[in-house]
Amino acid sequence: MTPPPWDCGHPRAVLHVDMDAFYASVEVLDDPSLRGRPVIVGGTPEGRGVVAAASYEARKFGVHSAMGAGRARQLCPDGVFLRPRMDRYCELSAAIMAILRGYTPLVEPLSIDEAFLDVSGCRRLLGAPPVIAADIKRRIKAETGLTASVGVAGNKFLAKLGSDLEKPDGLVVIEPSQGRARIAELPIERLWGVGKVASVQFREGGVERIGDLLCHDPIALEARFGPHVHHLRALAAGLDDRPVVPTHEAKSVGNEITFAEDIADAAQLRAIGDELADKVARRLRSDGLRARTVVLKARYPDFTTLTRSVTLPAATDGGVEFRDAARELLEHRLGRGRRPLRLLGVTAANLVQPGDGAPAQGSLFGEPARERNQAVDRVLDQVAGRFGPLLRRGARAGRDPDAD
Amino acid sequence: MKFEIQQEDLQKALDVIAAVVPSKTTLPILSCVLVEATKESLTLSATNLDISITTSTTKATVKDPGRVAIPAVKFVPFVRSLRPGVVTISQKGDQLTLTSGKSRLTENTMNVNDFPALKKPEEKAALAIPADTLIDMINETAYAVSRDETRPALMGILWEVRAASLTMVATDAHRLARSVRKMEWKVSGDKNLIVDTNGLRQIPRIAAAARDEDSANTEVSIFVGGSQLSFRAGSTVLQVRLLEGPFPDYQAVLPKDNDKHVTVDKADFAQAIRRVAITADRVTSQIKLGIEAGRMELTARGTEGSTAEDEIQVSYQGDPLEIGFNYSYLQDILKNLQAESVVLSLKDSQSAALLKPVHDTGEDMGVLCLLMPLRLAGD
Repeated sequence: MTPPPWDCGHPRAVLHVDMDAFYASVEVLDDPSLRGRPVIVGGTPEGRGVVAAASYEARKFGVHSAMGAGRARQLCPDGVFLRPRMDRYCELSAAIMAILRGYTPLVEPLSIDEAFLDVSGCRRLLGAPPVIAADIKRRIKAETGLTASVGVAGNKFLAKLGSDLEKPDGLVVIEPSQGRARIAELPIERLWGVGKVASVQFREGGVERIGDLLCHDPIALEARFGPHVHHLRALAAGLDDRPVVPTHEAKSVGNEITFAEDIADAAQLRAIGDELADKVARRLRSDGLRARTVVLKARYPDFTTLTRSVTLPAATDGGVEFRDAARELLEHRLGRGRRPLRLLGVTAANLVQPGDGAPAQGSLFGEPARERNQAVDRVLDQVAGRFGPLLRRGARAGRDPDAD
Repeated sequence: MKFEIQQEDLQKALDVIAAVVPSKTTLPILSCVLVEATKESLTLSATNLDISITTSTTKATVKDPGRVAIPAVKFVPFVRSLRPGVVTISQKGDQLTLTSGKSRLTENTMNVNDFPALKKPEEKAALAIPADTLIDMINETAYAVSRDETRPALMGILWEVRAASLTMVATDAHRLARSVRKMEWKVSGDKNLIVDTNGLRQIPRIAAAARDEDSANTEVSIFVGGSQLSFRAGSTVLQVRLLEGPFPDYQAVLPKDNDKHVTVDKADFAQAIRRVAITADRVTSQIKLGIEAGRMELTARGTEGSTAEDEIQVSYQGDPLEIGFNYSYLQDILKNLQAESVVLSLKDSQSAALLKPVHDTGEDMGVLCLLMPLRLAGD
């Protein structure tokens, strides 16, 4: 028997499972005639919208997710542009997460198509981590027809980095003792927490590769890049002790903000409430969820905290419905007069998972306004995806709510 | 303040007002009943700011006039628990003492001046309406109001006060109930009001109390003024807040070309619905009606593979039609239509159904209900 290629003395074993070009692969799975063709999900052939996923064939043309569909069209004129079908992706995602939870309850989904698993405790039962990883890949392929790339390592950082090294259909094992050497030559951007801006600064400072961080004097690095650099140095040394935290289906989605100074102005509070409601609705839409209950949380300067909630007649992910509910709660239900607030929060609760009963109860008065609002939500989501949430519904020119 | 009253009389007066006392409130004074004793009468009031009720009785013997705000939470159940007999209530400083035989309650009162001033309605230009008619109209509509707090106007009942009629309309956008009655009253100018539904739900109780006072009290007087609608029945006054509009244009959605008329026995229909609804999908509450000449088939399909079917006789001549409904909406309507038979007028599976009671006399009582279908799967 060949010895398992894994240091059995190491206390932790973490897997990062990442589906390959998930949305695009699902589309190919459901329509085999697309196999081998550049599939681009998100956006229309007319060049509107944002790319949510691109098949590996499309990536050869330089198309990648979060790119404007217009640009993708230029790069890949023969691409097959498809609208996302979130319901279908969620259905397969649930099936994949269920497979993962069959190995260990310690599954932490990062998004719809990737998750960490802590298999430290199941080595006796299931074998060495690389064996478990190969088995997971085989089962996902057999049960869903999709391929995944898996990184196996002694911590989350290295596992995630590993899953990305040999995509698609990869299986990369980073032995705990080799972590540091394995990543030393990788460009600095591959470190978690180093974005575009930081990488430019690092390169200007002579730090081009991950390993360079460990060669420079830590005191000088801190002076130049701030105390955060020590965390990056630990990662560069292959150290990361963050636990895998199993998460369950979200029970609520919320957003709150503590003000720099207490705010008493009703118009300003309303604008902030609108913004929070809009953010919450956007998060629901991006997760494919709807909610029946809107909860407003208000904290006064004396730290007393009140929550007020309203239950909507039907589950919704509409920005207007949330905003109206938040306003109603803020302006009529707090019941403590117009006192200044130090914190305001909006939470959506009573969540409805995608595909759960959508009764098509007709309305007597027609709902052209609601249909229009849904169209506006879609446009705002696309704009927000491209430019960040600069725009929001009902924002008026010449009035910056952050200004006063 | 000090007065004596028979336990039964005090309890009756409290029963009229106590339901209005809010169980949870951000204004503590609202959890009190206001007791005002004068040489002539004893007056009890309660309010939740949306609804206020004031009732008076001359059956108390007032030794020492005064006003006091008594927390209702212990006072009311204590009075209800007493044996018949004379109850003496007296106040010294912040303390209230109630004695009846050997029973005694001591309670701290609240600052009576904090109690919201209840504006007395201007009791002129009253509109008189038989209490039974008013209660019928409320029952015929109130079940259809919306519970959507984000659309407050739909939580109320629309009143259209006209020269010789009164119309009430309630809707939650999925269903609508309308009730019209001829009135013998003089109204100057048409008035459209949206009236708080919980306020209107107090009317049966105040009407019953008035009849209990004097069996000749069979009418309720209505006063329109400012932002509220006031009702007097005997010695009780109910004030109900009016809601801000707009109320949707319901006239525009009353169907004019529903030409498929199905007449059903109300009890048969209700029982068949109750049976098939047992397997209906819990989320959609959907049942399907398949209607053809002479018969109606009811079907409900559950999510776990169970199906229930039933069939009833109906009077119908037209083309076959299938239509889906939320069964609980249908049940609400049938429960509140006062008739042996009901006529269901349909256009197609997508358009609102019109339901009306059928009366032996053929007389149109002015009650109608609209119900939007639940689109059948696959439509």
